[in-house]
Amino acid sequence: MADDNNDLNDSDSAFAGVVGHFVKSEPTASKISLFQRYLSRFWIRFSIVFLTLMIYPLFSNQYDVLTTTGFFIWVFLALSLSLIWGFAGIFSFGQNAFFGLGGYAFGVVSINLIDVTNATNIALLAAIFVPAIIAAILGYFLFYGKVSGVYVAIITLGITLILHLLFLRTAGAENQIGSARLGGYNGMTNIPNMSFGFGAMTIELTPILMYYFVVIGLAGIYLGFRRLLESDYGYQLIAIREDEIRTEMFGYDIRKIKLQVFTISAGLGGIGGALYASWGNFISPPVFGLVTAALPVIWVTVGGRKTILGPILAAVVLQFFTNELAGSGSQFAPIILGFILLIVVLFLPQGVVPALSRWLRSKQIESL
Amino acid sequence: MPILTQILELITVVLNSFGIIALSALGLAIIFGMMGIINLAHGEFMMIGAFTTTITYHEGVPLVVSILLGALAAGILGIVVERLVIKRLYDRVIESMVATWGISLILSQSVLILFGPHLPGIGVPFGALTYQNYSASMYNVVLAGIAAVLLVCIYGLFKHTTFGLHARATIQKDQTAQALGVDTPNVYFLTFAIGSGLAGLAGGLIAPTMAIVPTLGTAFIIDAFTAVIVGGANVLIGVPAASVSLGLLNGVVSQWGGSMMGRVALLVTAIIILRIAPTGISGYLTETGE
Amino acid sequence: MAHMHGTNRSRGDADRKKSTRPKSSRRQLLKLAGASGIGLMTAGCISNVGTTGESGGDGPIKLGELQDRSGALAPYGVPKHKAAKLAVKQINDNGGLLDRDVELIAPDPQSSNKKYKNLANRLVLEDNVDVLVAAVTSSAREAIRPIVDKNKQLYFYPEQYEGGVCDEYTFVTGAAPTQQVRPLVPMMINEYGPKCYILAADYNFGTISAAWTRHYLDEHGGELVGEEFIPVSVSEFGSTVNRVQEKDPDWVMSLLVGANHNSYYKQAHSAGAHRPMASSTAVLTGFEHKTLPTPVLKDMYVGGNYMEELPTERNEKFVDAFRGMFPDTPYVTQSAVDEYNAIQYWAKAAEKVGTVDQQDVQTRLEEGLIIESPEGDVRLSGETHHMWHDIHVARVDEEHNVNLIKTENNLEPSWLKSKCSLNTEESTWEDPVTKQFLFEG
Repeated sequence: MADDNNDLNDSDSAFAGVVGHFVKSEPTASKISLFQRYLSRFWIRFSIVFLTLMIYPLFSNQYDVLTTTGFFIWVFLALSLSLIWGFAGIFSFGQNAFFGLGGYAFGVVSINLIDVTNATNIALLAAIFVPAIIAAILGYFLFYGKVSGVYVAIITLGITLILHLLFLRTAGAENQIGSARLGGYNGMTNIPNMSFGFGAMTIELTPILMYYFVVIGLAGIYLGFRRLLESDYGYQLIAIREDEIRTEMFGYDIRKIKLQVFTISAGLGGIGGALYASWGNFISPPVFGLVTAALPVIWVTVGGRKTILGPILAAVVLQFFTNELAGSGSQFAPIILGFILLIVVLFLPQGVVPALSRWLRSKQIESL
Repeated sequence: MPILTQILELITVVLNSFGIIALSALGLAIIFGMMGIINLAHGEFMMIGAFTTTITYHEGVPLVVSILLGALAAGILGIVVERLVIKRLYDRVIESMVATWGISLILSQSVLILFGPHLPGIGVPFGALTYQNYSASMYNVVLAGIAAVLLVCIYGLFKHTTFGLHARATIQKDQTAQALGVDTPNVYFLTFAIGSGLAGLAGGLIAPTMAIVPTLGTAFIIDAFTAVIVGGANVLIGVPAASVSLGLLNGVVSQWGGSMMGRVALLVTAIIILRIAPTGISGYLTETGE
Repeated sequence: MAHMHGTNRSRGDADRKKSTRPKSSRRQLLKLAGASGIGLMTAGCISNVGTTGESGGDGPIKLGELQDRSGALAPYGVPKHKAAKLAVKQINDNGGLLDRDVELIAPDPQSSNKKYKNLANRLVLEDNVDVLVAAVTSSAREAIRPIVDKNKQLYFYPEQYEGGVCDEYTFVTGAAPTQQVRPLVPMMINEYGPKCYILAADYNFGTISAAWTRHYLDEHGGELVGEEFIPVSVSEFGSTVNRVQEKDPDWVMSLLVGANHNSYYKQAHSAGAHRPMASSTAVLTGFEHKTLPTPVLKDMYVGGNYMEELPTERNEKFVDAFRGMFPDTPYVTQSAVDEYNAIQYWAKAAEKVGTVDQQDVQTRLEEGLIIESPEGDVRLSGETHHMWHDIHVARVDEEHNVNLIKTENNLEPSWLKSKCSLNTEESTWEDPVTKQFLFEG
């Protein structure tokens, strides 16, 4: 599992994939067996990790389950950025805006409907669609306006900072949507736990169920990402990342593809936001702030942006680590985090996970 | 008469916004324009300037000298950061953002530990400018003047010196410049030092109007970014154009609609400008043949 | 509270056996990470952290504290953390609480709501603290209050705020606008005239405090000539200073908050737009009179439940103890004393009932309790879980000395009185009320 998808991520093999779309070449027999071996090895590793995660709550206390769930929820944001930036090469510095919008959308809809529907099904849908629609509109302006590179980063950052300012101003009663108060700086409170079903057939996610829901959701998204990357569409994304103009020359409508993937990534961020809001029964404007905007960028960079596993692991490990540092009460915590970021960026330019997998592979070769 | 007062009010507010935006954006713009690096520790370099100025001033150093010492301290820090970190990150824009974010965490927390959450402030020099029953801070007008002079100096530096020639050659085609004998690593090095020094200078200049806390830089960084992005990669056109237009806009809107609306107007305008001119004002002007 | 479904673990008895599974979790998570091939990176560091909460059976009583020692709120959090250290040290020096030592478990939430949540979970669920004292801002308080309510955790919010929290498990030791703003408004009208201009931080605390100011202006025949709400990120006040001059008020009500906003005082003064000011936020909490150059705060009138200059013997002893422990303290702030009061209240109630069982302590607190605080003898209202405060009004002079003018004794936390009765059947430990009312003016 550690060696992830490196092979798929080299630009040449990406182009091979795109070209392969036109020229279907048959893989040789030895390649198939190698591929199968790789696949089965992957499934063994994946199953081990997945089962470990499934039995983890049996061996830990309530605090650990709650906190781990909290860490995993932010992985949705990391994956959202990983999709748009790691694969399609569009650097969004405001991906947290969709996370936050998802959270607020979930809060508003669930508070209003919980007494009617007894569940938060619709609220979760709202948390996906509100950010996705906003991203679609914004993406239309960006990608059909040929804004690219660092300017996309700054526009998306600008959007999230405007949202931060606007949501800070929502303290008054005039900012009440139905029975939900946006709450301004103090944040939106009394957001219900996530629940599914109808009427009496409702399952509410207690902390332990929430944990399983999040873990299964992440596993699903992880597998989905892998599938995506092995598909023609995935090759197109990587091709856009590696060379936009060349990809366009092959006849792909890169504006459309960018818009699609931006919209999907926003929806994914929105799910994370909904989970976050229901996990803590609370959401507040700092989700739109500069500090939150930097979080996914740090995770994806540190983990290695050209892998799927990298951002996931970096998000979990860095959150765990910063939480432990904060827990220690040491005033040096931010300084230590700063140095970790510097060291990773300077000495592991591809990110931690690719570096580790290369190291593991070299070990394997040595042992042969 | 009230109309005259109102015009006067507007002028002072616009001058104030222009001065602050230009000062805080200049160092960031030079580093971004010349090196393509977005320095997320820019606000902390300003903070280092402000702290140095404040501390030396309380030690009895005259204000002008302590402001220059602020610039010097930030410049030296810039040199250290360039040698240890930035040098290895040319052509890696995003990684340089993460690295400078790390530096900003280190700087602000280190200052908090070393000097505590507050420093005693410096009084604002020069007193008030008075017209009938209206008065404004003289120092704000002076700041706008200094900002204008600095813009001219930077223009001179890049247009009329050998360093400027080398720097411009390096931005346009760094490999060609290197082949022709320009020491491009040295150009980058000096550029980063100058950019950091200007951030420190801005911090020192703004220090008398501010409460001196380790998070001081964050108040300016968003305006500075907005100005740099709206201005685009060409510092010589971009910063003056952006700080004048944004200063005007921010000043007028906040005079009529309050500081909150001024803030929102700034960000909304930045987004609209980028929609029209995706590479900023300077990019737009260059493309359309100036 | 229909939708608050937590696992209601039974909490409380201090002598109860502590969790028998010590800290296995961290190792498991590590193993987990190791399995995925990344544990190597952090393993070395982690073994050094997290030494808290490992005490067993008859160990010390645990006081959990969350106050920011880094990030933007550090100027407010640091003095509070010092006060907590002092309070705990004094208890332990006097033989402890119920003959046991009190252990202060104080992670640093770094001015981040996200960390507040995680660390509150940790203190409540893992460290099993006997009492939680936490948060400067209302936002952080609202972030952790769901955790407090779900787990029936006795909680003290030790800071002045906009008022309105009515929560079975939460006790508030700071003052509210009904206490701090009320004496200031009539006094400023008498002293300088009716025309008032309100400058307030643009968030809940500012807008609600402004609404109370308008309320008292109406009551005392004042006149509102202008009002402006300023985002906390703003530190440039050019246009604000102009507008204040234009409206030409007799005095300015400053409800500005945070380091950025302190620039206003400098900028207004240098523009020659200085006016007499009243404030419930400046000086006593952020000691602006020590950090801003003289004389920008001249004629600033502040109202609050504590100031270092209080000329009582008890206070002088307290200030000496504080400075004895922390010699480079610029000013002993009201927020620090709010924190100190919280710990005093909790310790006194525990002493009275002879246990630190959270429900018993809470019940005792609800019966009303008087403590000998540095601010005076103050009383807790069982009904609202807020405090009666002595409100001291002082004027800052040209040299930035804080001169006490008058003290109004026993100001009631009156606004909640009609809405909130936590010591009746309406709200019990098992079936609690956990709300915040908002004043709309």
